[in-house]
Amino acid sequence: MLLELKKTGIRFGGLRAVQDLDLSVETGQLYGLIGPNGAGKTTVFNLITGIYAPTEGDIQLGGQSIVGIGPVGVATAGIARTFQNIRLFGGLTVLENVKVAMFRRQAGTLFEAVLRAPRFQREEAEATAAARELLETFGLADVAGLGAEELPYGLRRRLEIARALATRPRLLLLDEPAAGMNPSEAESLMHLIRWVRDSFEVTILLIEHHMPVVMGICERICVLDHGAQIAVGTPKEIRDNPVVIEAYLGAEAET
Amino acid sequence: MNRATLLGYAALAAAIAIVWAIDIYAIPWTNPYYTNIAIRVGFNLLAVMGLALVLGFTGQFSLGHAGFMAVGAYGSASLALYLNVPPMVAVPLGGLLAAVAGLVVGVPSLRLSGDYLAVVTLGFNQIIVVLVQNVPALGGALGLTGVPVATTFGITFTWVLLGAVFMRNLLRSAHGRAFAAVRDNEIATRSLGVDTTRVKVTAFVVGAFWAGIAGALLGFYNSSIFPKQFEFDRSIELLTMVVLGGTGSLSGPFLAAGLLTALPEALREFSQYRMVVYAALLILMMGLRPQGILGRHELSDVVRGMWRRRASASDGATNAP
Ligand SMILES: Nc1ncnc2c1ncn2[C@@H]1O[C@H](COP(=O)(O)OP(=O)(O)O)[C@@H](O)[C@H]1O
Ligand SMILES: [Mg+2]
Repeated sequence: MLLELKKTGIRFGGLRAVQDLDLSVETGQLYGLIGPNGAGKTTVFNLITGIYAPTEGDIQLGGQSIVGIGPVGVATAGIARTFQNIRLFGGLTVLENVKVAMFRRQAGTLFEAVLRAPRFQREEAEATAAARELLETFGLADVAGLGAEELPYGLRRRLEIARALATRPRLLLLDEPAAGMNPSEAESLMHLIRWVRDSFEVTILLIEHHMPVVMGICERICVLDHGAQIAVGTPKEIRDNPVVIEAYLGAEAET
Repeated sequence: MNRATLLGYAALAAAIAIVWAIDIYAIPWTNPYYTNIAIRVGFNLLAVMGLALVLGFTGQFSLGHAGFMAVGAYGSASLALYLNVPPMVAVPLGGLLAAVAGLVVGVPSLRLSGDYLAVVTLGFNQIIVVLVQNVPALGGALGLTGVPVATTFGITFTWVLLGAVFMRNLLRSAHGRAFAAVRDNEIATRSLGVDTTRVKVTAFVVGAFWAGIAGALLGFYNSSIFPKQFEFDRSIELLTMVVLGGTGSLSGPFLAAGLLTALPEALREFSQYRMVVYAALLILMMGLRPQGILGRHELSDVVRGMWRRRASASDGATNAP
């Protein structure tokens, strides 16, 4: 088991945004986290990545608790993520965005950078090469020199995934990567995600609204509603589950 | 060491040689009035450089930059006066003292997010001024006098060149990208495993170091230093230069520092309205060009852009029917 949430919960004042959540993601799995708007999905990501500390329960990566080690600690432990509202570095180029993710692995000191010492030169060349290769595989090589803010929306999402992968994570969390895309764009993104899982040998936990897409690529799915897990299983089991249908239809009726 | 690096070192050496050639062959024949302005522009270039790093490139709102100048000035002058440390050595030591002060102020306040830094740095600036006013060994309100005179045009601009190359190389490195990442999105930066507190403290300490160098050179230039020189309005003046020049640019604030140091000289009779003029300039700038003169660009980008535009304009002319 790579990631395990054990009876995890968090309260914001009186609101129990997530409660009593058990979640087990196996190494190599492509796992889907779905649920109506406001169900607590993003909050689960924020709990895993240490942005919030759970008020109940425990979160373990590879059998070790990662509660309380903070976002930097979690990233160092091997979890990378993207954000529902894309968070790129607008003042940096596409290439530089990816290179920021390699900062942690670069040992060169500030003085070596200022003096342009050999180790600085070597690490810089290595980072550039690795970042370019990654951009190549994501079809972003041609825009490597553009400012991140100049990218069209769909490419921004791709860049954010590439940047997360540049940290060489064991577990990749994707928060609504297909949001704002039309069905065919979403479809092609999902193929990309499956391909990423296979070729980077990374475990993926994915939040997504586009149901057909999630059903198509995920091996296992957890459904949240009002912060609680209402179903977990294979796509087929989820599709046929009356409780899930009820939650979604109910949500649809409200909006 | 590769070719580009060697060329870079050679260019720096050549630039320093030119500065000293000017110092030896031109300065003796120059009206001391203009030399004085040039040297004071140099001090402001050094001080503004550090603040450009902290505010412009790392996005941290520091309101006490003059406090670090004070630490550098009083620290290095005391070393020279009481321990007979030669000014050549006392200046970098003054920078280091300011860097230590930066560490002491930065570590607790940069851990917390948002406006703490502004409040703490503002307080720090006031505390430093009150402190030197009340320590007899530092001259009190009357100031520290009898500081050896050692700062020349050559020394000032050698430091400016070293500082500018230091900054340029730092900004074009993994550290430079980390500064910009913190400024643009701190949460995303952390999610990539970058310790943002450390990055911010690094920027802050480096910024304090160069402010300290500026202060130290100032002391060895005037032969006396006064608490009044490092009060809050001095910090605001430096802030104005960064905002006016462009946050996220190095040459922009340099340009603004040059303008705002030289202009008041030209408009001597209005000097008591200096702060009013700064405020008006800032407000005008916010309306007309909120990103500052150069925005996030460097002078070299602008020149290159003008070339490109001229080239494409002439292309257009030849293609015209
Ligand atoms: N920092 C916070 N403070 C207070 N309430 C929050 C906070 N973060 C999330 N919530 C609440 O938690 C609930 C779940 O939000 P979220 O996890 O963003 O939902 P989802 O991603 O499933 O759409 C919402 O009611 C939201 O308002
Ligand atoms: Mg969400």
